[in-house]
Amino acid sequence: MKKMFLVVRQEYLNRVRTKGFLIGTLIIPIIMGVLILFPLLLDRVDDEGTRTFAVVDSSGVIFAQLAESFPDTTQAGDPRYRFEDYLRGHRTEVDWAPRLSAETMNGTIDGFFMIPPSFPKGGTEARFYAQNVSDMSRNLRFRRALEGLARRARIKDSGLSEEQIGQILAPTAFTTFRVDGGEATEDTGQTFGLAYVFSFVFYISLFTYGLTTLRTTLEEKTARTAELMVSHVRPLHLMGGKILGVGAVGLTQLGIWFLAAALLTTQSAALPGPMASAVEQIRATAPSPAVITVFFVFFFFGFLFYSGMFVSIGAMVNSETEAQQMQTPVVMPIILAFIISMVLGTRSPDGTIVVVLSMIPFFSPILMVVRACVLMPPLWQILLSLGILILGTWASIWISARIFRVGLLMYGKKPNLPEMLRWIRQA
Amino acid sequence: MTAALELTGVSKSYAEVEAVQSFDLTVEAGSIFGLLGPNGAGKTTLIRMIMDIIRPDRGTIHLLGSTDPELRRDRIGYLPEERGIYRKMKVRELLVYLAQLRSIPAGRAREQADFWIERFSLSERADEKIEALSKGNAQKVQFIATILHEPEAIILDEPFSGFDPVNVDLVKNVMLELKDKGMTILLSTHQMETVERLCDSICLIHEGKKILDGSIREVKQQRGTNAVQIEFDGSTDFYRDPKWVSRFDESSRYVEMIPAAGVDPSELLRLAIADVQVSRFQIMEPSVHQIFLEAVGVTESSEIRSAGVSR
Repeated sequence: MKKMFLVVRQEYLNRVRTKGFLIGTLIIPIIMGVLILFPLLLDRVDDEGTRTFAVVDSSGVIFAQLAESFPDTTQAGDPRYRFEDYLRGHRTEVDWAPRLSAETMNGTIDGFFMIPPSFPKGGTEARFYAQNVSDMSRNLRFRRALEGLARRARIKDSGLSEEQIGQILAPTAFTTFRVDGGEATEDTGQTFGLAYVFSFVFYISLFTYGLTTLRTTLEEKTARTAELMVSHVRPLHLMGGKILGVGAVGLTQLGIWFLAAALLTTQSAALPGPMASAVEQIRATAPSPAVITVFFVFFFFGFLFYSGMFVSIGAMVNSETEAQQMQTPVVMPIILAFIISMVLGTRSPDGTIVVVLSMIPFFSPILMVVRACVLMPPLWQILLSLGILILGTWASIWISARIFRVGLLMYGKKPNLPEMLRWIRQA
Repeated sequence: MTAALELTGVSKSYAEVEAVQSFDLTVEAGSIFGLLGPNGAGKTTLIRMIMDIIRPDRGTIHLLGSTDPELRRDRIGYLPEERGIYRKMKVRELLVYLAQLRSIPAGRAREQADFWIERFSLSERADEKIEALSKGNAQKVQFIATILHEPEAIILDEPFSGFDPVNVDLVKNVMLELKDKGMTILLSTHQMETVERLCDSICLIHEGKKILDGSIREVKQQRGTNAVQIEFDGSTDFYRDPKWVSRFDESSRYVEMIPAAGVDPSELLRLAIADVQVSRFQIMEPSVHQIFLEAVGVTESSEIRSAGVSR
């Protein structure tokens, strides 16, 4: 056991001291941060100045209140959207479309609206023309604004006063709350965000460190160090040391990330303006200690479960290329679990399919973490799932220890299934 | 003397090939034992079984008085034929790590590492990574790793491969020193000459079978068909008589002859002096190399004969 600890320590130091670890530790949070913060920041930074749109309002009821529907301003304080009434002063019939198209092309205006007389009553469609029409959220806002103004015009036609119309169309509010025993908390998508971040981090780490155990085993083989090492320590201790060493590196990295995240969210005041408020929005997602516990416990055993299989592959093959072919069947369940957790785990965390899948060791690590984030499962389900996972881990390690012992010193042909079964029996 | 290593009826087959066939072997404690044989003779398989890296199909292996590999792991040093050490680690760091894995406390391991680093003139490289070393220096580091933890026995598979002549001498001297301190050394090689001066006992192995073993003197006496070289002026043909000489080889200045069975070399000298002026008379000790070639040749021809009979 003392020897295994020495192997753990050496494996840990060898990995933590590399540039790769430093880069990996920095790069993943940066990617995550960019993924989360970028849209928020972008919203603030996105300032292209005022856009001007021509409006040909043949109905006569839309233009007057169009500007009111878009109160947003640029950083300079000007309105973001300016609307110009092209019909004013033009009593004669003009073929607007070609003329405004030309103006749009030469940049005089950014686009134009064609609103036919029957539009407010549900007649002919209104049209919006612009060079760039792929900004979906802007298109949607325009559509809603026109719809609202048309509705208002119709109500007005029915003879109600402005005051009554105001009462009818007064905005309503809608907020989602999450009930979890204590005080219900407001939720504007944080729970989903948290589940997403957690399962993503889990998935990346399981993937990265699982494959690292494969590579470190393969290195023993290709560098021909295996024979020397096996004369020093029992193969089981060598394997255990390597897996735990890599696992410790993974936990270190996750620990750094969690601490950094905690620091960032509690010290958000020290950050520059737009970042601080962006972080503020994430802060509400801070996971409970129970969720973090589930995360680390399931990560630990999930990692052991999968690394047993990865190590077996590393011991069987002779090159990276062979390893790549062999690792697919092991990698697939991880990817599948990630997809299932994202699709079903958030939508129906207590549905039969998810509950059953979260009992299977191949899927349980990621699924349980997502379930804990979204809707904490009953304790008996967590313990049952963990128990099955531990049994699976034991089996995975038991088999891989045998394959490791024989395969590590076997060079040349990759073994076929009957040979592998013989290895397992023999060792 | 007690036996440090004892093999009884050890066999191992790979698929159809019998790599080692019911092998018996005894290595006395405190001796240097050479396992000789051509490539593919089964030396490495034998050594790997002794090291419990592969398990024999049949037979028992007693090493340092125990059949349990776990009990003796720390008391043995092993230099595998497949050289390989962690290339990313620094010389001293690696040596200390490997010694600690043999249950040597860190402090003691560092002392020992520094001593041997000095001895092998690697002091300037002690903090360099293995991958920065020349092949010869990396070999030295691996050899140090074999002896650093002061084992009772070391097992070396082709220890001299990869060393230049200067370092071969250095390694040999170290081995002799370690032997004087009571260490048992088992080494395999196919270089017969290096072994002659180093080993106390040898075992010749060919196609997985033991051909002969014993102390070098015993082996030479057993197989010793001592050749006689006589240099002389004049002419004589006594050596052409098969009564005295079983085989001879005429050179320009001397004749090498193998006495017929029961003929003492001094008898030949007497015959020669009777005819000619002898300027040199020498009894040639057969080299291990010759013995080996002869032994392998005999078995091969006997196999051919038996095959011919059965056909």
